[in-house]
Amino acid sequence: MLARYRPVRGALFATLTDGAVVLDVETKKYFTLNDTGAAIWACIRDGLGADAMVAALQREYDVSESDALVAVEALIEALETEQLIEPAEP
Amino acid sequence: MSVSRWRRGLVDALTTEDGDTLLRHTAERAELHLRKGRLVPGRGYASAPAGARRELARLAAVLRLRQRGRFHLHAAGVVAPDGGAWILAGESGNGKSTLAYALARRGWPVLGDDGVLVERTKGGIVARAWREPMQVSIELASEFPELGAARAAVDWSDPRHRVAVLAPGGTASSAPVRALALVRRSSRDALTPASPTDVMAALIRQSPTVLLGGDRAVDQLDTLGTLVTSVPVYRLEHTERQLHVLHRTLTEGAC
Repeated sequence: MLARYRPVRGALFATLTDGAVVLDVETKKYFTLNDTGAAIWACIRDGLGADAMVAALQREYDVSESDALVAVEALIEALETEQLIEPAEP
Repeated sequence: MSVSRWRRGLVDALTTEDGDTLLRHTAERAELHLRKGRLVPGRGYASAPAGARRELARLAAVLRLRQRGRFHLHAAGVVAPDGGAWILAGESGNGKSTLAYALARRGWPVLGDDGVLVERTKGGIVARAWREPMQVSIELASEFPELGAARAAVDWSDPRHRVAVLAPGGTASSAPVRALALVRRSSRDALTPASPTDVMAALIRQSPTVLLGGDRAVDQLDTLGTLVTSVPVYRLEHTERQLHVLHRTLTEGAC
């Protein structure tokens, strides 16, 4: 079970029509996300856990539960590596 | 209070969350402060060469305008006959000024050839003039003979051999943004739809103040996001042929 995460302080997010941009004003780095990544980021920002993220992805896209979970886990790992998200307080 | 360190050209800067900034010209050791929206000369400023003072003042103006919700883009802006502004963004050397001049010769008023301000309004994104002399390469005289008369004023120390010129079609103070194109010199001519996310990333690369943070950061990012999603965005690959047909390319939406 994945923990809940939240964006780090200084991470700004802009939703676009085909994805999103995450800007970290602390590290001066920016990242682009495709539309699936943007949907996952929005779930993280809204404080959803992994199960709710997977359900949200399945509602929006034609993906299996396992594919959605893989996408969620992969992006969370990448975002945590880039220090754009951190575990939320329990 | 956190402080952002950033650099543009020969200027190092420290910006606090509330927007106060120390600008330091590294070559001339001159400083200019922006405090509560006011410019305050610092050490070495009074005795610095005019070029260094101009560079500091330019950045200070970018920051002051940012505080007012007018965000500087490293881009050209020209106004089409329908009254809408085209923003031509791109890395240095990819023809922003050249293309702006080509359009100006066709009567399109210029908002800026190397900078333009964008502001979010109730009616959408408005482009505003960034007043600096228009500069084009004297090499363009082979295409536009009238530039030959400016040869004596060329700055030959500039690798691009640019010269300040008046915009043939005059200038404009503002216009609603009609479209945006990322321009790139190429071996072919093509105007193709672009991904808003890719365009947003390109604008961020070209606009270091986006990364400054502070109380205007969200507004700046939202303004850029609104810009790239509210108007058509394109990639414009161009050869010299476009110098004479760009006005048609943009108004007809195809090369």
